[in-house]
Amino acid sequence: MKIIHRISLRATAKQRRELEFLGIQVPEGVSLLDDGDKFISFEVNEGHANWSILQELFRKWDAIDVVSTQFSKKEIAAARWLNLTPDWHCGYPQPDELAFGYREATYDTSEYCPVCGVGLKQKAPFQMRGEPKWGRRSILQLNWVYDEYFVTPEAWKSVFYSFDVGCQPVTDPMGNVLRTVVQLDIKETAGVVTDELAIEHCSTCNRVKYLPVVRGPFPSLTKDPSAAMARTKEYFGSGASAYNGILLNQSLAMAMADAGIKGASVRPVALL
Amino acid sequence: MGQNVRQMASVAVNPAEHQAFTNAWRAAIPYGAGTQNATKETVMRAARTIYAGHPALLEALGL
Repeated sequence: MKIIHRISLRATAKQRRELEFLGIQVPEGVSLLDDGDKFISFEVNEGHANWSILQELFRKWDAIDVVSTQFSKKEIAAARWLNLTPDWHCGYPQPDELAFGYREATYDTSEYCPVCGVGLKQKAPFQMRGEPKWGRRSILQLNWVYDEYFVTPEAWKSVFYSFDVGCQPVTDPMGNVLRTVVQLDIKETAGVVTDELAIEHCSTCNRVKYLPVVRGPFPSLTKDPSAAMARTKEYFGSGASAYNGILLNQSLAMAMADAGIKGASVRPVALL
Repeated sequence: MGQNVRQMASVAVNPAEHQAFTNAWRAAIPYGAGTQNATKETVMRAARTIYAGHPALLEALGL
């Protein structure tokens, strides 16, 4: 397991020299069409020989730091349960994306809080602008909707159907059912051990959600789900974004890999 | 964040600026899990950095 930091900043000549001295290959960077320094982004993992010095510098410079964790194939294969994470996002839920029209069209919003994003319950099929441009991929997420996955009907039939994961139709904004995409119907819920998770408390609805867990494995489950796929009872996210984590068992993850399903990745769920 | 786009303040940018900003956002917060896991704090910090030389944009964002 490697903890990776994606660092971005507008680096001065002095900062570039310091980074290079500490063993970072500093990219040329891009101009943001103003008088400021070029914008650079690079990755460094916590195993770097100078990590402790670099970490201090990144804090001092107020650099953008996006953390992720890389797992070995062995670590993934050893997990009983995995968290499904998107490799891409394809389009925005419809209708009227400039006013988040999908919320009222797709969800029962009676328990929804617009400040923290918690409480949406699906009541109708998702709408997409049209057939997704899949390329070589066969699983996707929509922007903003981080707790639903959509797959090609072929992927559903060849992989998910045999694990008793159902599907729901997806329509265009006119109500026509799309032919090349279905939504995975993930019904079961599972609790997560939350003792050590960082929280965001909503002062409007008084509910709690957990900041996304980016270091190490996904938090352990209080009890293994009985279905092959499940969603967490808890919400994760920050600001107005809130979503349930999506879980799948090792057998389904292996079947997805064997079928060459592209568009999402897995990371281990910690064992209790 | 989470605001209705039609009710947000807006600043006109030319196509070259738009492309440069988009590239910087993509580099700082990658698509996929990067977007899903981005915190409000990270997004605000990225906005302050990327738009540092464009005070009108920072002002429109309240930064």
